[in-house]
Amino acid sequence: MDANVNLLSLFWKFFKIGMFTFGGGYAMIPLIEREVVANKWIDKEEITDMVAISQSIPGAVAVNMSLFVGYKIAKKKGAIISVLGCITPSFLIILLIAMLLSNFQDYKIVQHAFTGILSAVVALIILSAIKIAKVAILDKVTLIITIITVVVLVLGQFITITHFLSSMFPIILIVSGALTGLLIYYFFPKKVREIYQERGNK
Amino acid sequence: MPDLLVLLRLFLTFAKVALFNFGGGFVMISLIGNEIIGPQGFNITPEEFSNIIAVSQMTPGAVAINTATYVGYKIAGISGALVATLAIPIPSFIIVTFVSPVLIKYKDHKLNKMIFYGIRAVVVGLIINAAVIVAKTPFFVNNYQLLKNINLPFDLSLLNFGSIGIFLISLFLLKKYKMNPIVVIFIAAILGIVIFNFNV
Repeated sequence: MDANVNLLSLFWKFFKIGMFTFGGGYAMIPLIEREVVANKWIDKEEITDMVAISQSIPGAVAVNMSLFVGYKIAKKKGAIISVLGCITPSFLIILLIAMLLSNFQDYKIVQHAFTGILSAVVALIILSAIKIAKVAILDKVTLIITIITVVVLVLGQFITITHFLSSMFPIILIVSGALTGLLIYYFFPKKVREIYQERGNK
Repeated sequence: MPDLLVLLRLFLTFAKVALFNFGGGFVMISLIGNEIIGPQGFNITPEEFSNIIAVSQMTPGAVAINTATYVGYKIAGISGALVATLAIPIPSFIIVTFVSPVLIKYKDHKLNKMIFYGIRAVVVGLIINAAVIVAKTPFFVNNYQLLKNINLPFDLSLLNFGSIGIFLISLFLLKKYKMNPIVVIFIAAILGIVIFNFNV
C-alpha cells in the first residue's frame, strides 16, 4: 500500500479537506469519506474508529484525524503530509486576514456566508452520523449506548456545568463504550458470536 | 528577525495547549486565552482575543490551528505564525506514531473488535452531539456577536428560518444528488449571502 500512494495527491486531498472544514473536527468526516474512503485507501469502519481515538487523545480533533488517516495510508510520512495538507489552507487564510483584513469578522458578507456554511455543515454532520450508524448500531446494546451518549452530551450542553467537566464527557463515554465491549467479550461469548454472524465476520 | 526566545516561547505555549487539551472546542479556546492574554502571556487584550477567536471560527480548519497562526503572526510576524502553528500538531504526531502501530497490529483481534463494537456506538452519539453544537450558531443566531456567548439560551424567538432553509436544501442536495460536500458548502455560502442580505 505504501508504495503506490502518491504523497503529492495525499497532500492535495488533505488540503481540500482542510480548506472546507468549518465548525470543528467532526465536519471533516464527510470530506474524508469523499476524498479518502472513496479511494479505498481506508474503510468506513476504520474512519469511525479513528474519530473515537482522535477524540480520546490530546489535541485538535481535525489535526488528530488527519494524522491517523495519514498514518494508516503511508505511515509517518503519510501522517506528516496529511496534517501539513490539512493545516496549510488555514495558515495561508489566517495569515492573509491578519495582514490585510484585520476586521474580517465584521464584514456583513462574511458573517452571512459563514451562517450559510454552518447551516450546510449541520446537514453534512447529520448525514455522516446516519452513515456511521449503519456500521455501528448493530443491535439493541449498541442502540442503547448511542441513546445514552446523545442524552448525556446534549443535556451537558444545555445544563450549565464547568467546561472542564463537560469536556470530559466524551472521553468518559468512549471508555464506557470500550468497557461494554470488553464485558461482552469476557462474559457473553455467545453474544460475541452473534455479533460476528450479523456482521458477516467482517 | 524576531527574537529566538520569543519564538521558543510561542512554540512551547502552543505545544502545551495542544498537549493539555482533551475534547477540543471551547476548552481549547479557554486554554489558549489563559496562556496568551495579559502581560504574563503575550500581551494580547481580551478584546483582541475575542476577535481572534471569531476569525478562527469563521475561517476553515481547526480553531486551535487558526488561533495559533493568528497569535503567532501578531507576536512575531510570519516566522511566529509558522512556529506557533507547527507546535499544535507535534504533540499529537508523537502520540499517533505510538498508538497507530498498535491499532493496526491488533486490528483483527476479536477483543479489539469487541472494544470498538462498543466505541462505535458512542461515536454515533458524539457526531449527533456535534451536529447540535454546530446547529446552535446558525439556527439561533444571525449575529456573530452572539457567537461569543457560549451558553446560548434555547430561545425559540431567535430561530433563524433562513438557516433552517439552507440546512434543508443542503440535506436535499447531499442525499438526493449525492453532491460533493465541497460544492454544497459553496452553494450554502452563496445562499447565506443572498438570503441574509435581505433578511437583516
